[in-house]
Amino acid sequence: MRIYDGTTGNFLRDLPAYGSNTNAIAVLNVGENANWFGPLVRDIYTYFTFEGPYMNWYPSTHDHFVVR
Amino acid sequence: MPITSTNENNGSEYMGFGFYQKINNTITPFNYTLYVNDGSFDGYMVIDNHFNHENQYLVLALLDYKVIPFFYNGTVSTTHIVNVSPMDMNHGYFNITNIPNGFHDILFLAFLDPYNHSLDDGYRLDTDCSDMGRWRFNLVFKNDTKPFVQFKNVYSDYNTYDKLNGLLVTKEMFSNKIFLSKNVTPNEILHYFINIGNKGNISENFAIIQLLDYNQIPINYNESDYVYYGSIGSGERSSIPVNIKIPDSNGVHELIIILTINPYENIWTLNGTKNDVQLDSMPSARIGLNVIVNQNY
Repeated sequence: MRIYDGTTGNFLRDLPAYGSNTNAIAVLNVGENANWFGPLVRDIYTYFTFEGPYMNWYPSTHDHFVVR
Repeated sequence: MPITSTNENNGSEYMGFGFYQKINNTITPFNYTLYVNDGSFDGYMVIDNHFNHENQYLVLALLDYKVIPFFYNGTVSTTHIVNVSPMDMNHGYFNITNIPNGFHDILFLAFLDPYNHSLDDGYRLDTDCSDMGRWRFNLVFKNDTKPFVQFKNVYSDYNTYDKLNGLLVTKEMFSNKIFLSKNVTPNEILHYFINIGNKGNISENFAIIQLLDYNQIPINYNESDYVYYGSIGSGERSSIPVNIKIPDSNGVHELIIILTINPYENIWTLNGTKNDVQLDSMPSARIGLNVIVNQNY
């Protein structure tokens, strides 16, 4: 999961991906680490791969979360 | 601090990319380490276009991180275009021949919507780490001698440690401002930086390649190295200076950098499980280089 500053467009940080329920994990991570972000609006991008025995799947778009 | 999701799509559309040996009653997947008998590797490639609209995909194969021609759906080429209908899968036979003796990595890449030349920042940012399927195998032919590769220890800045895990391309050294697009002139030498971060607990080797319009180009325009092999310590971030020579044809050209973690690692362990190390490949954002030919010349 990659986090950009929604105001400046600057890269902020990557967070590790856990499990398959990516949206829930994203919220959990942000909640746990809210002091990283400050008051500005941030965009959070997830880019997970779901691995299968003969095929990998990739979400078509980033999941955008806005932290206010 | 409330958190809201603005993604209405919410993962219902996706692409799939995979490989298998054959279909009988069930699909037979490959092992990740393949012992090839006659210097060739063949099977079936599948692209799952789980979208509500048709999409185009561009597929490359890299042997030891260099793009090679391969047979797919009746033609031999370094690039293969595959159009897939909405909510459909495309299965096609592929064959790679003339594999040299020894241990090799073979990496397949599939780029979604490869010729979207929009210069919109939102589109460009959406391609960061995304819109690319990948599949990597080890190929072993006659012996398991790995290619001789010297991984350079790259200069690292500890001030930005513990933030970047992977790849970020920027115009300035150690910058956090992602490079998305630029107006450029023909034959200009464009300088930029490939930032690599390692948030893991151990050092990692990596390989970097550059693609311009899906053709592999040297790491630096006046050198002959097409692959940059490096090593980065735990918690470190490096910023590697690179450059390209801008093409002389008008219009938007697509620059993509691909990072592969731990090249030439054994993907498959002796006890038949996948190796528990980072083995992924990730793309940079697609950088739109808008070549503007000066009409006065």
